[in-house]
Amino acid sequence: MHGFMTPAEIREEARPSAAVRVRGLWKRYKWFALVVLLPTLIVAGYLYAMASDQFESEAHYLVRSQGGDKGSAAGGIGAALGFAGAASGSQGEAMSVSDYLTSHDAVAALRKRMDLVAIFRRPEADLLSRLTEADPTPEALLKYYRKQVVVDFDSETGITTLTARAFRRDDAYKLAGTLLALGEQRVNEMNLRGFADAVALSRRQLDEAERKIASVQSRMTQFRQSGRDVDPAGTAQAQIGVVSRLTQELSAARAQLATTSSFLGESSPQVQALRRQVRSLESQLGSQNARLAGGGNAIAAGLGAFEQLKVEQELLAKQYEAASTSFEQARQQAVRQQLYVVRVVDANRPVKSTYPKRALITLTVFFGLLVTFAIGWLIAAGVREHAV
Amino acid sequence: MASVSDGAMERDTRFRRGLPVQFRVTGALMLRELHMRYGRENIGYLWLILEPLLLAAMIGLMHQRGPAHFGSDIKPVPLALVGYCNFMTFRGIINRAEGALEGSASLFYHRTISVFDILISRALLEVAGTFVSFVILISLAIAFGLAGLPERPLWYLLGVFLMFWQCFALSMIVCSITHENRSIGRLIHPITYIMMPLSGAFFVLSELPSEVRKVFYWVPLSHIFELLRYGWFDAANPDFIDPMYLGIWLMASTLIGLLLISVVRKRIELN
Repeated sequence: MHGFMTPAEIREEARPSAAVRVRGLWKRYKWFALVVLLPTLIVAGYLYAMASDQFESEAHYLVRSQGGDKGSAAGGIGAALGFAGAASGSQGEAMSVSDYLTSHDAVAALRKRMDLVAIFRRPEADLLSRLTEADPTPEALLKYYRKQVVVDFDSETGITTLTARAFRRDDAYKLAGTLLALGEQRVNEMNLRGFADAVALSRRQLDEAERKIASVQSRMTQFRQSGRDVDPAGTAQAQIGVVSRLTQELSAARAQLATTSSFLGESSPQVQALRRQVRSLESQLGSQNARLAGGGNAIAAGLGAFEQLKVEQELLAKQYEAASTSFEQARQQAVRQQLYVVRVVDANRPVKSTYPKRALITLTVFFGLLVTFAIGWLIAAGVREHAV
Repeated sequence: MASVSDGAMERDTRFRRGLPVQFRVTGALMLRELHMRYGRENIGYLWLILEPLLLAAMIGLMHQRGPAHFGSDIKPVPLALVGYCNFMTFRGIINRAEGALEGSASLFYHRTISVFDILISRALLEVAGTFVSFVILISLAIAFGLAGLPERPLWYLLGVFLMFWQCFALSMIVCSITHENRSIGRLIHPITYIMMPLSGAFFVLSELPSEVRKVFYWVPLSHIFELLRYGWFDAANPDFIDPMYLGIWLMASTLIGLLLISVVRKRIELN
């Protein structure tokens, strides 16, 4: 204060006193500066001076099947009470797509379609946020990729949000677009596979039935062609007619023979003729009967074999019908279970950089460290109190 | 409290001299607490183990032949043990924080004993007790084939530490508030009981319907329990641990707690 009188003096004294004051300030606020200010400044310096802009492209999609298996069914009261939350069908499918999109498989597929490493190592990318290695191992690339590409499934709406971040606008856009296409492709592959699996068994059964029916048909044809008969059943019918007519004639002839012989006597020529007629009828009947039911080449044997073939054919026809119905059902079922990706929001071409969120990160770091410092200071003060 | 006029060097040396005293005081207080609590009565320390042992035995009997409900290796017995033993840390620390100062009022004649010392010695004793009982019980469960070995032991230990930290921070707040207003102390026990189902100790968040899960997402304890389960079980899902949210809770409650006990300390000295 007295320095007001002699300005020359104060200039001489001010310099050392300023240095002392700075040292005093440093001593008093050393920890504050080291714990709070310095890290905040470093973070802010990096974010504002070095960190390169990143652009975000976002797309929304929905995985659905044609059968009305809705993902939102999970929110029902049963789920609230049961807690046995097995993911409902299409939820699982949607998860499978997002699982695929964040896998090494998708990274490998992406690398075939675009130069992923170059995208993550653009010259404008700063050293800390770019992919560090020029020739990364798949694991390192996957790790970095998972930082840049976020797939978030909302179990309530069933909508999956795909966010891709890159250092150039077009890169982000292309990345998100390609990922959507890859997801669709994977769903289609799953469909093909599922369809083939679902239909394969009934298709095999149908083929089997078809083959059997064809073989029976050919055996029947063979039977007919082997010269026995075109229609053994019809032949048998006709043969039965012949036999019964012969039997009638025979009994009529016998009756007439008995009547005539009682009138005219045994030796009359008429009786002799009748007797001959009866004899020939008897032998006729015997041979016809043998044709109908005797061994070997008889009609009865042929009819038995034919009936068997016919029954077999009928059975197989029924089997074939059943197989073809179940095949048709399986096919329809598989078609209903076909999944498809619905693009709710297509990938956008970003204009303004939205990442990194500089002010937010800086403020978070600052307040976090401030609280840390306050806690540390309070505890240290408590410890100092113990020193007597 | 060190006055601002003290030089920085003075403060540093005071800190260096104070630290061993702090450790000695805390150790002595823990021993005192141990004797006071379990002293000469019947089985003493063993109560610390018997309580969860009974629970684990009951759950073991109920679920012995049941399937694992929440994924392949999350069996009912270890799930209950991980949940209950760590919940005991919470219950013990919070319940004992209520009225902690009244029981130790005579100690404040010693200059070197602070509210912080009393609370941290109690909290440390509590967490050590529950951890030991957990280790014994889970070893038994592993020996009987009811549980598996921890899949990520370091994460589990981190979970135990965070649980201790969160409970200690809350205990400072509880202790200060109940010291000021005794009637609030009556609410502490009911609150710890209500927290039992609300803390997410006995189920995994990923199996909950999303509307219910949102509620648990606000509870810091459920994040810690998720972390503990992630440390113990291979099939546990770490998606529902938000380090940021948990960190905010830990930091804010610690700061508020420390500020509150420094206020309370002054009021005790006035009495």
